[in-house]
Amino acid sequence: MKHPAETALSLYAGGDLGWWTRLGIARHVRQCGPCRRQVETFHTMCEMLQAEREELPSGLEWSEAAAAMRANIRLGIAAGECVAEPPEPRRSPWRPALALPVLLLIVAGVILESLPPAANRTPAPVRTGGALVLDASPAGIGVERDGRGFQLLRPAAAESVEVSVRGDSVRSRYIDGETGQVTISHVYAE
Amino acid sequence: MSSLVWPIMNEAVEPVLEDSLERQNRFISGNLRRIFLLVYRMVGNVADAQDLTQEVFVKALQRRDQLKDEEKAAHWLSRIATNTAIDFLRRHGRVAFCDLDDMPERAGSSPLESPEARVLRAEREAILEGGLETLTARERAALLLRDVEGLPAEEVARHLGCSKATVRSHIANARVKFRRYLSRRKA
Repeated sequence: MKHPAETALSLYAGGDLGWWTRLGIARHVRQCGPCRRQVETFHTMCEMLQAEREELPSGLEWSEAAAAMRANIRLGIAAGECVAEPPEPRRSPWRPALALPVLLLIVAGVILESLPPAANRTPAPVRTGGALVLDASPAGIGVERDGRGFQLLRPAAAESVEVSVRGDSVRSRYIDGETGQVTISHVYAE
Repeated sequence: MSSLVWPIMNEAVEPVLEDSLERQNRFISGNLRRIFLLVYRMVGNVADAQDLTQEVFVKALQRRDQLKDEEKAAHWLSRIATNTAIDFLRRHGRVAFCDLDDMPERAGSSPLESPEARVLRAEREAILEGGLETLTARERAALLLRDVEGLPAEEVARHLGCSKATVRSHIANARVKFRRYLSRRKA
């Protein structure tokens, strides 16, 4: 007679086999004394394990142990909340809509930055009441009336030049490349 | 059945917070002994079992928003406990049980319990622990969940994150090893 494997008997005893296999083993166990005894020992073992389910270890005072564990659990949770990362702020749905204007501003800034400095652009001469002319150019600034006037020329060592005309005045700003000295000239027309 | 176990603490106003803490305490009290015993059977050491039980509850309660109903919460807790104990056994190797003679006197036992009953109880405990010690961590977990906790094999497989066939193999091997241990002990 061929006996089922011990592992199969253990699964049979615990009710862990499919119905077809279980049927075959049940028929064998009915006829075979040694296998029946093995199944009985597996049953006894399972009962013993279940009986021990609620048994606490010797020497353990459960109420004290449980109180200590409860306190430590609460402490652990509190500590975890202290070191937890703050919740991620909710993403506003209109955030992507802000991106486009910001991007446009950045592009505009880059374009403006890349434009040549004011010194390279010569302001047009401004004529004020009558024949008075205010003149600003990279070469210098000046005032002229009826063919007479004066001009403040740009110093030879000047590296950075800025000239501008505002209303009835003309202004220049030079920086000496060697000394770093700044010269500002402001001429008002009357 | 599908009542919320805990509301999210961040949004809690005072009564909700109190309610949440009360539920939290109820959850701990309702499951503490069961989880402690499961972990203790796995690791075989009271001090480690206490530490691991605390760890299990802290892990579970930190993710309490994942718990939707109480029935699932208990199963989920058992799963965390099993995995925590298996990880512990992997890190620390086999557990060492103390000898029967070295076992401390049962301080919490009833004064009505006779010395004979105490000895029998200690012997049963030693048999159980000795038998469990012969098993691998996974076999031990499978046997405890199936034969002590009474979970069906499918549920044990989900707990251990393996197939039903694998878990049946663990259960069968564990039962055979345990039976052989009992036979040796009797002989």
